[in-house]
Amino acid sequence: MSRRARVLLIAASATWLALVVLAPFLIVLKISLAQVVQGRPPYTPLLAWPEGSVLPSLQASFANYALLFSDSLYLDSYLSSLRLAALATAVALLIGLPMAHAMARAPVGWRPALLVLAVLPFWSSSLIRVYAWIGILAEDGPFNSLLVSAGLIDRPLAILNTDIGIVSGLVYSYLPFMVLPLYASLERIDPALLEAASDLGCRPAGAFFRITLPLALPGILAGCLLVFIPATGEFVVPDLMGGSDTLMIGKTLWTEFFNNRDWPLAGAASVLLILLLVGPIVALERQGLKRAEGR
Amino acid sequence: MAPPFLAPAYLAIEQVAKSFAGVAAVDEVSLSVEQGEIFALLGPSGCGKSTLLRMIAGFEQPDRGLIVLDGEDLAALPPYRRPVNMMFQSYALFPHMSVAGNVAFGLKQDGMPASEIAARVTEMLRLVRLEAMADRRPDQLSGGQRQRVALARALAKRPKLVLLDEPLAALDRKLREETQFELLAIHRRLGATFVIVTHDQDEAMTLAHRLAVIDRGRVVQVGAPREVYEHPATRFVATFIGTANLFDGVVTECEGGVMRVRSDTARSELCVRHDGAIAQGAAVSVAVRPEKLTLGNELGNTLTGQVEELAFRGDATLCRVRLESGLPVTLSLPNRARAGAGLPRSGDTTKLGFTASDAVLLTS
Repeated sequence: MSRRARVLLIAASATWLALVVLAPFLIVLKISLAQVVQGRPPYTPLLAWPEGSVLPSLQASFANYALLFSDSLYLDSYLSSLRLAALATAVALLIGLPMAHAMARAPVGWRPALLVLAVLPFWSSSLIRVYAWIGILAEDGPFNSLLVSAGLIDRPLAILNTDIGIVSGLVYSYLPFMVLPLYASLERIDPALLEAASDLGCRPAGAFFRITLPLALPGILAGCLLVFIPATGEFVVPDLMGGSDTLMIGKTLWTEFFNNRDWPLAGAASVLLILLLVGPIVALERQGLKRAEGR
Repeated sequence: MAPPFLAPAYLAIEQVAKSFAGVAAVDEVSLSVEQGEIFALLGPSGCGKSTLLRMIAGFEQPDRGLIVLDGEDLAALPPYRRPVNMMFQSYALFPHMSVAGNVAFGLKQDGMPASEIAARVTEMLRLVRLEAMADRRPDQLSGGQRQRVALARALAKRPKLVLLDEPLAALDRKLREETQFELLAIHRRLGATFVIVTHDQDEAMTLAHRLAVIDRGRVVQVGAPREVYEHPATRFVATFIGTANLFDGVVTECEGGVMRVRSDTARSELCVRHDGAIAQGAAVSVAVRPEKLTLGNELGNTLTGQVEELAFRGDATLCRVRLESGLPVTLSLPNRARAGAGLPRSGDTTKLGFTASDAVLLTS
């Protein structure tokens, strides 16, 4: 590729990112520094021209950020979101790893069909699928009647409106994001490596932990990030499958924005959420770079 | 149990058969390999030699037959319990481990103490001249270095048997020749038993003490390289190992170890030394190696033809002569004199000769 074409390509993607990521973020940042008012838009402008002044004065306030730290509702929402997202990520990894492993070891001719099956649910509306899960997990739903008729439990379990309900919904919604990168990295592992491990005296279980898992690590990290990040800010699942006392930052944000019409506070909460999630991504990226340099 | 009066072979492969989807890959193969020997399985790709190797390693199960190593039947043992280590054609080095980590991998599986592992790894890396590369990762090495790591890893556990799957195939020609001699030196120092799979006859002939020529899942001939080269058992062996000019004909006379063969393609009656009786009228082929043919002078058997092409090969010049019957014949003429003195010219009509003892009679 010529130097000119490379510069153009980078410029195009940078422009795109500036338009769809940076600009909205700056707008949210601006709103987060304002104060709520009755009116349209429902917040104070950033720059004000006092009477008789030529230069505008900056009307930025960190009061919203202070509120986020002083009212325990917000911190609890963040912590609860991180906890539930981490739990959902762990469960998705435990389910996704054997799934992706089986797919990667399946006969070559089957793999495209298995991949399609893994992403098939995405072809229907996520809202409909979440409602379907509400039906399945309800106290009089098929899941509970199956457990009862199998004699595993006496009374139906209350799954909905609990953390387990939310985690189930999150895992279901984001499982393909875990499976696809895992599959991509597992499929690339040369089967001869496992034969070599076996040849050198390593049992299959040992070879999984000493060869397969370390080589799949980039896929595992990518999958975990792809599940953890959207799960942390998720709104639909906690709203529909969680109870009224469920705390997740996505839901809290929604309430502030739509019910309380407190755009500046919602903006501040969004900015803090982004900062929370950018931290681990940058850390992982750095580690990946270090590994790449080590090679 | 082998009868006590028969010393059992170190590695005995007895009537081993394996088929994939109804197609026989290995067909009733029986071989024996002696301790300390370099034994080559030589054949074209798809002949079943790799399947045989994978059955010895334990990656494939034979449908029938026995594989016995040093008195122990291997059938019941999974690959990770067999005292056999393999050097893979792709090397199969663990990309996330250092050179030392790769070599140490098998030793760790045996629960060897760390100090002994370190000593053995150093010893192995010195053997393959890679001490300085111990901390490198495989993707930081050249092809030749990777090949040596794979060899060190396969030797590290001092296995009873070392399997080498096309060990030199991925190296370029110059490196391949150097590595051949290096491999021989390493073998001599360790005294290990090597079974090598290769499709390259040069590789098999340089490395192996004995070789088995395999064609379509069957062993066609077993013997020392020189024996197989000078006395090929079949037309396949004669043409697969080296080049051979084949003259088809019919036996007309059999007398005192010399056969007379009437060959239409040679346009003459050929005399060939051959032990054993062949019925008159039997269809045979007379095989003559290119370097056994001489130009101009008449040595027992004489052919006439026209020189078509000359190809300079450094140590020899290959000369293609078309016989009167239309059959092309290849000669290899040593380049003893500089400036090509004594070489024919394209278009010359010439006589070719070979002695009765320089030709081989093939019945199959």
